Amino acid sequence: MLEDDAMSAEKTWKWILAVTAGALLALPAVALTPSDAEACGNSMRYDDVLGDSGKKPRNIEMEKPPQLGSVIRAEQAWNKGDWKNAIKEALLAHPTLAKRSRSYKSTDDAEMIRAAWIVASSITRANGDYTLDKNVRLEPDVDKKRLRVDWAVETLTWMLEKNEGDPLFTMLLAESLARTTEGEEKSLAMLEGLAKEDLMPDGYGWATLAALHTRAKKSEAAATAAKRCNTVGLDKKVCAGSSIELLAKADVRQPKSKPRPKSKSKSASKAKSM
Amino acid sequence: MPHRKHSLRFLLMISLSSALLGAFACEKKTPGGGPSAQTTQTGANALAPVEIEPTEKLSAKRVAAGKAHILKFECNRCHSIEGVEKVPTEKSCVTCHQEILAGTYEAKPELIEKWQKNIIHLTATPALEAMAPRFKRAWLVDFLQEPHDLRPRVDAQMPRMKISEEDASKLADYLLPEVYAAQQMLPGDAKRGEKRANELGCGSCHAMTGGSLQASAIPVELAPEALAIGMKLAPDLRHTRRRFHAAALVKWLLDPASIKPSTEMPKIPMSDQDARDIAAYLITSNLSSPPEVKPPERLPVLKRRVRYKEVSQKVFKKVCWHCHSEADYVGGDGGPGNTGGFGFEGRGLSLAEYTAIASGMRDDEGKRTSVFKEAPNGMPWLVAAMYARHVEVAGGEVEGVRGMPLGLPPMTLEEIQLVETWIAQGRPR
Repeated sequence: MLEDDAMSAEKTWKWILAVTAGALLALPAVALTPSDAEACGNSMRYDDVLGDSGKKPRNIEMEKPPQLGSVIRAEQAWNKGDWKNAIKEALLAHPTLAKRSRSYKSTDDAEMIRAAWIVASSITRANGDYTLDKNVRLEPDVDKKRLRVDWAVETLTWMLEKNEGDPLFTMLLAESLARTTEGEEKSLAMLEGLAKEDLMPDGYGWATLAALHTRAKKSEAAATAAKRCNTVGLDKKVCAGSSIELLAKADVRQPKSKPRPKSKSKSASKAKSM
Repeated sequence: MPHRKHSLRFLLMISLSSALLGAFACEKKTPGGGPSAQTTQTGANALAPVEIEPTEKLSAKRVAAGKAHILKFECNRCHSIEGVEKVPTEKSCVTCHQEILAGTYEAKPELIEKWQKNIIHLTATPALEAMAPRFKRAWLVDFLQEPHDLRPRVDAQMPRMKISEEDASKLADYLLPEVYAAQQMLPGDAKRGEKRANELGCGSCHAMTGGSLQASAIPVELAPEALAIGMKLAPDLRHTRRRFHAAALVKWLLDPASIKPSTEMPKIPMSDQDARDIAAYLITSNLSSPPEVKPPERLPVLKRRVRYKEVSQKVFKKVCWHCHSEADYVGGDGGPGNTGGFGFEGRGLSLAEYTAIASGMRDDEGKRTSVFKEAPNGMPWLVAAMYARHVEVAGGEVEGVRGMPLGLPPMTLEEIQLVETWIAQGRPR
């Protein structure tokens, strides 16, 4: 019995030593704190996961189509207010989406649909100033500007129909409509609805609301909307709404353009755009 | 709260390190599986073997309906489940984390290295196998509806999901497809059981909240990795009396792998009488009330300017977007909190982009609603959800608000303060 007790005491003593040693060993680990923990699949939108390893992709996160990078860059440019590059990158990934075929309407490719609304919104916010092709350039012809905004209205109307009640598409469509003489009233109703529900996705919606109130000579309401726009982070110039152009309906009775000479290359004719 | 988080990690490290060293220290004393000497000392091997036989098997139809529920609630995203197919790695939080930690995930080495530093949660969960002989149906049905902290050394908990009593019952049909009649306690000496439990090292892996279990060395040699996982997953023995069938507990103590071959619980050499006594101790000993935990007070909003970029980096893209991501970029699956999962209908809430956050989420009626609106407790909803997790961990519940992040340790008070400040300042971009 005494021997048992002695063994037990020795065991306990060793245990205490072990706990102390364990605690000391654990100290450096405790000092480690987590840094930014990006999610697995979600962070891969920004990371080139496979790199040059040449391994066959195994799961959905890795089976990214090559154009994904362009769509991501398009959205990043859109977030920065760089409309030209947003359009350029999106059309680089999906050159057909702004064509008459409206290819985004017949696809399940969520990234292509995303590219379409990024282009539509960028065109809207640039008041239709840029051409809708991958060599995007400034083309401030008023009729063409309006035609491009009409394209944006059509595109965003489709997006909203597909995503009923979605605040982002509501706001983007309202922004487009606010640039057309016949769409102002509808735009105002849509934006006021978002404002009432505290669902305005970003400052451009407030800026558009400010512009619409200013046009209606409601200076107090315009100031309130502009103030909210300022709070969420856009500059005063944008928030006053003065950069939002009102474009009259394009003259659809324009004379038809002359038939193209047969010698023109296919690529040259493709480059012609809205 | 960050101190609490660090303290828990600290305790875990101490326990792990000490148990590893303790196991080795003890192993020297028992060469050749020496503890068998203790087994023979008791001289109680003449007891009749413990028999646990099912009295009824549920119909194949009921079990199949139960499996459909397992798939509906995506239990297999966190658990390995007998007879249920595994989900792909990118849908299994645990497998994904394990592969990254093991370096077997297919990605560039620098990314693997970066992610390895960040992974804390969901690295091990118990396999849901051979539950029927062990667990009581009533406990399981209750636990699924109102989960509690069963494994104190795992920082994640069974999440509080949208599981009704009927759902829980169906889930139990699959997990417990055999019925075991109420089992009588086998005769055992609880006082002696307490002594033997403390001598046999039960407390080195298990906690027994409110009980008298002490930490002591395990009398068997275990691979460090197995010991680490075993310690991590070891349940709080406070709940054993509600969880276990009495006779099954005795059999389990004698040879856990004879019931669940994949178990991390080692076979601790003990006599039949030891097992009966320890079972009596676990089931009948007095337990004091668990210490009352009060949710901490929120911190006041900051006076400095807080912009979206900071909140996104420190909160939304650190934790939230794991379940609330942008579906278009991840194959259409924006996570349980966006496009749906774990039995939840999609709420349409992405916390990956400013515009998405400001676009709110769908309410119970499917109508878009702001995440900044006032919750029943007066906090902005986004803050209320994060704070509710503190309340849940303290054993409470915030009416109408599910604590976030689901099943994980709460966000720190500083992180909640940051989000609340950002909202109070008008959510500047």
